[in-house]
Amino acid sequence: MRVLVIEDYELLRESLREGLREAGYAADVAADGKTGLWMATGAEYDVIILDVMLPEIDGITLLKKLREAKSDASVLILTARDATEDRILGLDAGADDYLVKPFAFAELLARVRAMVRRGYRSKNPVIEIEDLCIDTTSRTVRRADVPVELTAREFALLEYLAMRSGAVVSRTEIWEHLYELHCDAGSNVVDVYIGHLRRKLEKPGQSRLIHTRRGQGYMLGVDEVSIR
Amino acid sequence: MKSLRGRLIVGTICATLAIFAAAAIVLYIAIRHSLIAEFDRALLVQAQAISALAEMDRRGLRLDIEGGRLPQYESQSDAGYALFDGAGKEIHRSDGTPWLGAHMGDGSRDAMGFARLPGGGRARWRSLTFTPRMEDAEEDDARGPRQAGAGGDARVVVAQSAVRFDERLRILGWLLATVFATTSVATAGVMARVVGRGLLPMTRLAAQIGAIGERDLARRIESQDVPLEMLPVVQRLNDLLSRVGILVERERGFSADVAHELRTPLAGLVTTMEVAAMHPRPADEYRKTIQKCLAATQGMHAMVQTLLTLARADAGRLEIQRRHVDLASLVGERWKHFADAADARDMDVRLSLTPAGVATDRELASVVIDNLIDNAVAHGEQSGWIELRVTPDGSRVVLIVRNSGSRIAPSDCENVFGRFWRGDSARTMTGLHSGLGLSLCRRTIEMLGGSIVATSDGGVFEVKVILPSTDGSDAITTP
Repeated sequence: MRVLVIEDYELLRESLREGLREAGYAADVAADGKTGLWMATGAEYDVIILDVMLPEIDGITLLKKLREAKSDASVLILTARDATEDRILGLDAGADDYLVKPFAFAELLARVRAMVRRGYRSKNPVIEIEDLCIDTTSRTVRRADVPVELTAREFALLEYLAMRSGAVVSRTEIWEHLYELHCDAGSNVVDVYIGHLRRKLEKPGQSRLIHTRRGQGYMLGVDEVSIR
Repeated sequence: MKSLRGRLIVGTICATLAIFAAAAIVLYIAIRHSLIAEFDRALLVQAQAISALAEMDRRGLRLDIEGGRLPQYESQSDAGYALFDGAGKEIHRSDGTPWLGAHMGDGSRDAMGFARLPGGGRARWRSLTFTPRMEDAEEDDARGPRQAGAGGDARVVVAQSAVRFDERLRILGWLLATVFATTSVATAGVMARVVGRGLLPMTRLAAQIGAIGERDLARRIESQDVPLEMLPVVQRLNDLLSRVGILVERERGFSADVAHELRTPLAGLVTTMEVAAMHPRPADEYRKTIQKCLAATQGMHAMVQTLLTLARADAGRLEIQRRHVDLASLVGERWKHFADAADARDMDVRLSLTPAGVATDRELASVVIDNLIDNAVAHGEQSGWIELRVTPDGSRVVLIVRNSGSRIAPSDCENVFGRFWRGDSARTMTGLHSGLGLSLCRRTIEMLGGSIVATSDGGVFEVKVILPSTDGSDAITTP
């Protein structure tokens, strides 16, 4: 999942970037409203964490412009003012949620997870596909009740595929949702990670979970085409 | 506590009682006077009647009455008369009136007075000096002209008991006292009610004022039912409420700003530490995190310090120790702390510092200079220039701090002294420049007896500080 942090206070911005990365998100950052808006409209973000008081363009104006540009990224507003009017203002401008500074980072992560789930129309933090069970909160995976050890990147890939299970997901989409802006890796790294995932999830004797659609991408779940 | 109601009631009652008492006393005196006059007139008539009976013959003065007694005085012991000749010798006297003395009315034609009665009470007497009728005028003429005057005159003193008169006066006195007492009590009651009713609007006003809490300072006291005399009070109160409301609003805004300015670095600190604690890290990473947190805490500390200084300045509790200070060398000294930062931003520095003595507090002046230089270095453009200038100008010394690359509109120049104001419409550099520095500068310079103005023209931002020079000031102690 890809997250954009727009915050002018460096200490907070960098800590959020680091914390989100360590929690398995691809995190980009912007220090002012103008750069933030440019980045938010230029790429597919699952969640945007937005400070209200920003240089160049303030958070609320940025949010309105973002919604005008038909972006449907989930937006979490960070505000230092806890007056009701301020929260209403943010939510009415198109925010999905808000947090009042200072906040607990664990709470921010939980809210980001919930927003990601909502973004993919999924309410349960535990995704079950056939005998595969993915717990997005504890970030653990089991297949046929056997725990599967995954790296952060592998888990992120599996989580994204699981959120969109039943649909074919292109390499570009995967790449866009999993890699940060200044990543040198090309979209062919997706194939490499798909290979890693398959090795770990599809042990001998187990059914195929990740299906390849040649020229289109990948799909997680029951492959109706191969059943047919 | 003095009660207006009590004072009004006591005041009006005292005044009314004094007026009533004076009226009663005047009335009493007037009635008494007229009663005495009437008494005296009656006595005069009696005295004249007796004097008509007196005649003078060869043997001397005598009273020409049958049986030697006047019947109307016979049966009375408290009324009587006495007749004296010109020499004061008693000629005749009614029975039982030894208290009628020869001294009464002696030496005057018409005298009157009171005399004590032996049986208690008093009597009113009146004397009449007259020339008695001569019994034989021809004989008198033959003996030569009769001598008028002391020898020939006679004096009659008539007296009558004043017991009944005194009784009437006593009744009159009691009557007046009773009327006075009753009216006083009635007046007190009426006054209490009238004053109470008159003060009712005040009670209502107090209730209205009491109902205004700190949350509804926008409410105003209604003036339609207020008496005319209290209208100015209500208007002043409403004016005061508006001013208090504005102050409270500003204070709330300020507190919200303080909260915001402290919350953001606090959020940064919390998140940084939480992220660092998520899993074990190498010592070097922890060291970096601690250094970052330390820098953030120092920033917060500086802001709290500035806020405290501002609060002290606002409360007038900032201690000022004036000394002779050379502003040029002080600016040069403070500049050294910022030279590296300006160098890092590739700024061209122009120093023009002419020695100039000012009578000022070294510490406070340093705070101002630091803030001005810090602003210029932080907000001036990269690779631009900074100018620091100290110039003596007669009785004052001028300090100018200029930087290129100003993005502040000329119309915004007065706003730079507002608390938490930032050049950016939103904000820049949260946690580093809180927007309090110039506000503190203005407050401090004002306390030091100087002035500070900012201008922005053609991309150049200038702050001009004027301080009184040491010349001509005697209150300075040079260490």
